[in-house]
Amino acid sequence: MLDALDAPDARASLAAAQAGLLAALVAGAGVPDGFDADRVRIQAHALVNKRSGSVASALPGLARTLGADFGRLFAAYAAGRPKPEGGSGADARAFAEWLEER
Amino acid sequence: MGETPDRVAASGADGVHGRTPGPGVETSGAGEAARVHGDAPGLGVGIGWRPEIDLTVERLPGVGFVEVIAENVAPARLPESLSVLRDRGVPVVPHGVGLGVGGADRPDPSRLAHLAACAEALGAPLVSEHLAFVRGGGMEAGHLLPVPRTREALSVIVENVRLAQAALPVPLALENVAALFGWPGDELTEAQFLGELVERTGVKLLVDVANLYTNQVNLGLDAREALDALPLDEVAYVHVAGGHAHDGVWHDTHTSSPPEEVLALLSDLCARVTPPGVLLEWDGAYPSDAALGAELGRIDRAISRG
Amino acid sequence: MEIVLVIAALAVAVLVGSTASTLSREHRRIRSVTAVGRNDLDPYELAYLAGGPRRVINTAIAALSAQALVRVSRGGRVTVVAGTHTPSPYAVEQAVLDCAAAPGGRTAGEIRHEVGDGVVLTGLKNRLIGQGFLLPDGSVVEPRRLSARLLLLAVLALGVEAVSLVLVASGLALWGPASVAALLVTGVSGVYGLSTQIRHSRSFGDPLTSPGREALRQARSRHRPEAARVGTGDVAFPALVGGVALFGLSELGDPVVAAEIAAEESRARSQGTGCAAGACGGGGGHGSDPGSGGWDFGSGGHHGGHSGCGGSSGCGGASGSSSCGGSSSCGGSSSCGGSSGCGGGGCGGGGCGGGGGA
Repeated sequence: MLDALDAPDARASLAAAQAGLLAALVAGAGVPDGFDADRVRIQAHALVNKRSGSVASALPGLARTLGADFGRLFAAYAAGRPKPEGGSGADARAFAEWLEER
Repeated sequence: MGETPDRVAASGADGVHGRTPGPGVETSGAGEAARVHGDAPGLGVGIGWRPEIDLTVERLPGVGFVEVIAENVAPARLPESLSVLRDRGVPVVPHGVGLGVGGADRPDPSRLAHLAACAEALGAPLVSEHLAFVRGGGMEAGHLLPVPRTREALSVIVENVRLAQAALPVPLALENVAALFGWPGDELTEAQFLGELVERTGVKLLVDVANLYTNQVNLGLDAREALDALPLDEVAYVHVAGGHAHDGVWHDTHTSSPPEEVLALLSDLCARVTPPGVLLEWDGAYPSDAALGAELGRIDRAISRG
Repeated sequence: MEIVLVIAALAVAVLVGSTASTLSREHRRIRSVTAVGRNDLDPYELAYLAGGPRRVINTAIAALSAQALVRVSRGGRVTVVAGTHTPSPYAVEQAVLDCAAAPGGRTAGEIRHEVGDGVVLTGLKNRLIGQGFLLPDGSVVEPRRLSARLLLLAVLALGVEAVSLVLVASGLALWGPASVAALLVTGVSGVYGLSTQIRHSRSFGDPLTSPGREALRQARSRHRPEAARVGTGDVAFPALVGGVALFGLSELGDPVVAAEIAAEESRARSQGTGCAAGACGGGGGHGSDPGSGGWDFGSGGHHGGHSGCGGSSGCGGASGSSSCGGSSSCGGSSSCGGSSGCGGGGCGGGGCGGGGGA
């Protein structure tokens, strides 16, 4: 562990940097300074699409029922709401609950 | 099923260059290709194993090795198809997508244990992952995100890679990722960063030429310069995949035929070094068996052009 | 006393005889329809006659798979092959394609369940009934009732015989022509009733009319299995599909795919009450007796929660649809998040779809 000496500080600053970017990508926070904001938004959009695809696969019945509205509704649900612990299954359940509450 | 594409069974123990006498030669079937690859260092041309195409992968002639998404298998209950391939002597490489070795946290021991168990169960010659981070601050990206390429981040990731290597029974290879954006303040290119990692940890490389192409289109990063900068002697194998252009952005979807530009990069890479293996990634919208066989044939020809 | 035995014997004999003849008449009546249909049934109509809904759907999956329009993977999962959007001329094939087009596809068992209960199969069945190849629903109700009554009467006859024997043996009735006649009459009626009942009850599972049987017999004798093996293109394919329709998946010529199409259900419900691994019903090589009837209707236990695979638009494409925002691993569904709890314990079989590596 040659690099262990300076690792704690390095880890802390890497953690802060990555958390800041992730907040912008999946939790609706502002884009950190220095990034190409357009590209970060495209990436954020892509992540929602990817989540949406996984949830659609987990809930084929719901996906059929909602049809073309699925993507729009999922995007509304996912805005500012990171993927929950437990993967796509948990995401799917949370989405279904969110739909019911509406 | 499917017709025999005009390609040849893997025949070389010295990587993909040993297996290309030329087009038009009949293959002798996957079984023979697999035997050739018994414990040889060469992997040949392979394809990503996915449950939807398991029988296709088993039957495609000339498949030298396969890769399976590690998070999708339970080592104690391997899919029958993977057991069939393993027992036939076809190398099966667990390919992780969730470790996040480029993250700020030390790699999760349970994820490492899972990768190790996969490698053991599959008799894998190596395990591959990505130079990427996938979570942080309690949030999951669900995606492979590029790491900040600073010296400081490098020191963290070097330690992460060493921890991963220590937990794995086989060598680890790291893959370059495709990115839509770069970090401000990057001090190194991805190729330089990977080169440093290789030098300091002995990690192997999984070069994804489709990702190099994606970064060239989307970020203007020259793919051939990246090939020049990467320590290609340390390549474990190469990824090839297709995607779609949309509004000037290349989407690396793994759902279509690799474009000629990607295969040209493969040829360029093969002109510099003989990679032990080249693997086609396909992740949905699977075409017919014959079409997939033909794609492997295109890869064969791109290799032999190199 | 002997006269009582004779009277009882005759009474039960008359009842057995009349019920048996009514049953036989009824049996002939419902089947002896005049077919109004053509003699050129298509493969799916023949499949229905040969093996019911299950055979029809298995034939469709096999035919689509042989044309590389769908792909069958281990576990019997059926997915649509990308880049093939030709609508099928056969409604049942189209229904299977619609099912398989769902994200992640459908297992053969789910398809049998969903398409088997759907309008396409109902339409096919009604067409065959209308053309006189298939018995209308409910037409075996009366024969079944008669059959049950005949069984009862046959048992009664044997019971009377037993009682008569006991009486004679114990000396309460005397040996003589009368008691011998009573014993003979009850014995013969009992055996005759039972054999008639068994003969007819076997055919209750066979819903074919006489013309239906004849059409099936002719199609089977016309079938040239060697064409599927040596022929090419437009000769081989119909022979292959015809073979599967008439004789079952063993004719597919691809035992692995055939087993996956057939076997899925037995894995899904490992100890179900139904048939094991496609071994049941309608099976059959060329040697199977076409008349022995008995389709396997088992479209499987009821799978919860499927709303059927209508031709709805669904949600766009399988994993990795075009909307991916484009960096490394847009592909598969499971992505790199800790999906389905794939940590140390490993993820279960269920949630493991296509992966999404870069």
